[in-house]
Amino acid sequence: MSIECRSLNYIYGQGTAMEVHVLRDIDLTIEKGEFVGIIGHTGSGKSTLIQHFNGLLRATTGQVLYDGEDIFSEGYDRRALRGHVGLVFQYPEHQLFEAEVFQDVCFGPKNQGLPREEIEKRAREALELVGLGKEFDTRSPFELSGGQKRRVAIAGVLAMEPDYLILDEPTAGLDPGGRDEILGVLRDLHEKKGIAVILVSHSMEDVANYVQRIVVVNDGQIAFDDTPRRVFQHYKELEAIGLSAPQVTYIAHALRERGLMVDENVTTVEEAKKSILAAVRARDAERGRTGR
Amino acid sequence: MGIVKTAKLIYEYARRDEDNRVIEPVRAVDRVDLDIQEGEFVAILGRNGSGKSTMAKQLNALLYPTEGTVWIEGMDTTEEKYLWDIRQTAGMVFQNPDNQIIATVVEEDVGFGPENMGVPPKEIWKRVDESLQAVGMTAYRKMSPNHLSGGQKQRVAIAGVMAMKPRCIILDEPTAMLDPNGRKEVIRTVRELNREEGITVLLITHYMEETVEADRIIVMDAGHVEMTGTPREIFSQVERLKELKLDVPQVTELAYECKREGLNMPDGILTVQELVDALCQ
Repeated sequence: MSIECRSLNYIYGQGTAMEVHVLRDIDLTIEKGEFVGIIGHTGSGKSTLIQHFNGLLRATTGQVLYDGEDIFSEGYDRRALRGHVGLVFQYPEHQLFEAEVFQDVCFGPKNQGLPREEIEKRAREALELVGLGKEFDTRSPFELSGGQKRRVAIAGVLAMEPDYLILDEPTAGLDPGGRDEILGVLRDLHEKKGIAVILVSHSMEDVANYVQRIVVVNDGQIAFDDTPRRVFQHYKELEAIGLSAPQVTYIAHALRERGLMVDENVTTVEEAKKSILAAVRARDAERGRTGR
Repeated sequence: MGIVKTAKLIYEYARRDEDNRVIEPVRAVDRVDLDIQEGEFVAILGRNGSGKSTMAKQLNALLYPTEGTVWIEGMDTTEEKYLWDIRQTAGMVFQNPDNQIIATVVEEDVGFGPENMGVPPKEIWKRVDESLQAVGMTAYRKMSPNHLSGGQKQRVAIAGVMAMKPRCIILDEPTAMLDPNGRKEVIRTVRELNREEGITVLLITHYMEETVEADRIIVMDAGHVEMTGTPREIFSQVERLKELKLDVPQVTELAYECKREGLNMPDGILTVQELVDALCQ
């Protein structure tokens, strides 16, 4: 199972004075069960790209295939597709509207035309998945904290039981506690439910800590597509396109310049710590031997 | 008395049910005493709902205290005659740049504040020039704000506040919606205004790295001031911050973790350079 973009181009306002070529010749395949981060500066085209994954935007040229089928071929059931590929927009809590949490989460599956029992079963499960117990059912979404509201919004998409969950900057504006809450939920969904998670983020640290693969979008094209370790090796190129590496990557480079031979490609605090401890112990042993 | 001072500041609002009946009062700000000196750079940290924004809005009379007092340069914010002077002294920048920009051309947007204050045209243009210069946006003055990046828009918003010649700027999560470059741009701009123009800065943020060069950090929790101190004093208390659901800069966390594993390391490492120096003696 996969989402596949083939030679995807998207041109905004084609034939007008406002014409902008937003996406250029994108070839990208995301398999079921992956945890992918998409990074790029504001205006790089990443939000436009993800809106192609469930057919919200129609490619100007090229194709988007879901499980090998062109989602814009005649008769393709895009409504069903949106159940398989769930999209959580920026600030999704602004889209909460029901008076009670449970009702809000029911909205998606209700729209899918499912029987009442199934709707409620799914809403229950979705709320459990994001860590909101029964005590939240009758609360007003507007009384919850920022992180909780956002989890309700994510539950609303999960209740449609998607195979892919795409989130556009799900941690923007949250405090560190709220951010860890949301990212923890995503990690669980990926590990325990096998849902493919596609995370658009401006936080290099979050991406490094959670995803398995990073797609870097710049100027409507894919600049890098690899593991976090390999992508952040290119930290200088990333800086040139308005991005950066996690702070620990810079620390590792600075340490090597001063002669402490740590692994220069660390991307998380945990990796950096291990590498530093090993390097310091090796150095101290060496100093002991040579009597320095 | 400092340029921003509060005494036993309390702000309460009523939680209401669907029929608009009061369920219970909620205390968003709880007995806060602040005294911020002219020229200081103060960062305010705290989880969502800790009262940071509610407090900030009281500092330029967008909200009024339920109890206690706020003085801006000695002016009590509840006295109506000071309203314009207070808003002019303490300017405010919010999270979303798109909600703060109103004109179709950058320079007109920057001139909007002084125009509203009845500043003569010649003086307005002078201030627009200076403000755009101060935030490094002179090259974009004739452009439409629609064509700017998030970081650039936020700098235009700051220039708009600067054109009112404030002595203090309060920024409420100005970088929350920006990409890494935009964040750097805005923070660099704010720091320069503080250092070079002597503007007092109150920066509310969730990004710990943005606070390491502040003169002072105030940590709020449940409406009150929980901790206050220099960045080094605050970030030396990693466990305490984690209890408050806050974070430390990655370099501080790494130093803390290395120390726990037995490496010789001072507390409260704040920069890459400090960590490198500590490890490579």
